[in-house]
Amino acid sequence: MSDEFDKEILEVVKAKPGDWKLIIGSKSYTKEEIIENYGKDPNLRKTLRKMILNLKLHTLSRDEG
Amino acid sequence: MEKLVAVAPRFDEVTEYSQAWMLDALTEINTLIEIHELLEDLAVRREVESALEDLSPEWFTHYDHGSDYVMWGDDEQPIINLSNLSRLAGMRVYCMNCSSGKGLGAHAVDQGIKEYLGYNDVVSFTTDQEQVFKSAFNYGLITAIQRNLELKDIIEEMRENGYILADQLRSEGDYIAAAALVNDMDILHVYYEGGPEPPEPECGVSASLKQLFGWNGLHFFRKWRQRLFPETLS
Repeated sequence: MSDEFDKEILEVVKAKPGDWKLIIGSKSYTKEEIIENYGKDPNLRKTLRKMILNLKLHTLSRDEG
Repeated sequence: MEKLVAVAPRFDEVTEYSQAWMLDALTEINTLIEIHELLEDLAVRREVESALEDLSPEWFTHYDHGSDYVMWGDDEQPIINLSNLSRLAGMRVYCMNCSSGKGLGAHAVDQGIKEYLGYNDVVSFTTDQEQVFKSAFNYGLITAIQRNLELKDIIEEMRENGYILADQLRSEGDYIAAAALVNDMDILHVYYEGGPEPPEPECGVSASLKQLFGWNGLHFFRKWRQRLFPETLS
């Protein structure tokens, strides 16, 4: 099940240029692997949602501060 | 001169980064502290315990995979867990590993450790910005030793430095790296005598044992659980 936030996250992933991997603990994901596995891997989805949500909260607090 | 035992295995993609980061940090401080490096096949429990006993260092650092109750070694076996955590007593411990702050860090003060800086959850980074992450992860160790400060005195500065780096990444449009770095700084914690209490255990049984017997009692029960069922505390 995906929502608007999931779509936003995948857009952010797709927009990041270059050759890179996201390391989460001992796991490693290329851009293509994130896009392919996002809907299938609940841990990946949960982690990315938490990370981007925290960034939004951080940005709000920095902008207000 | 104070001594630092610095441990960094290298056995997979992630530890190639973490070991390189630690070695870079050490070049910044090697005139200020006597460094004893344990790399690759020397980054195993036997060598670590021997170095701690022989050198009685004031500092210990571990750059590698971690989990709640384990700092892992090059042989993918624990080098530090609840059974030998007390060997770090009297030291300042600087961890660049996942999650050990949450488990080992919570028991650090009771085991006589002066300070334990670590991450309370899984650490993340992006490979294309590894230099930025290195700068954030190394900041506390380098700053504390260069300025002769305690870890509790530099943690807020370390966190703020990470947030500033994350803000730069965000301003460049790199939201994934920025999000990872903000997350890392959010889960950074230092445990020390007189500092804030560790977070309450999430598990109901652990919470009850802690309520009845305190952190020392909980450490005792967890140590035995680790001996009997090692897979449950890794």
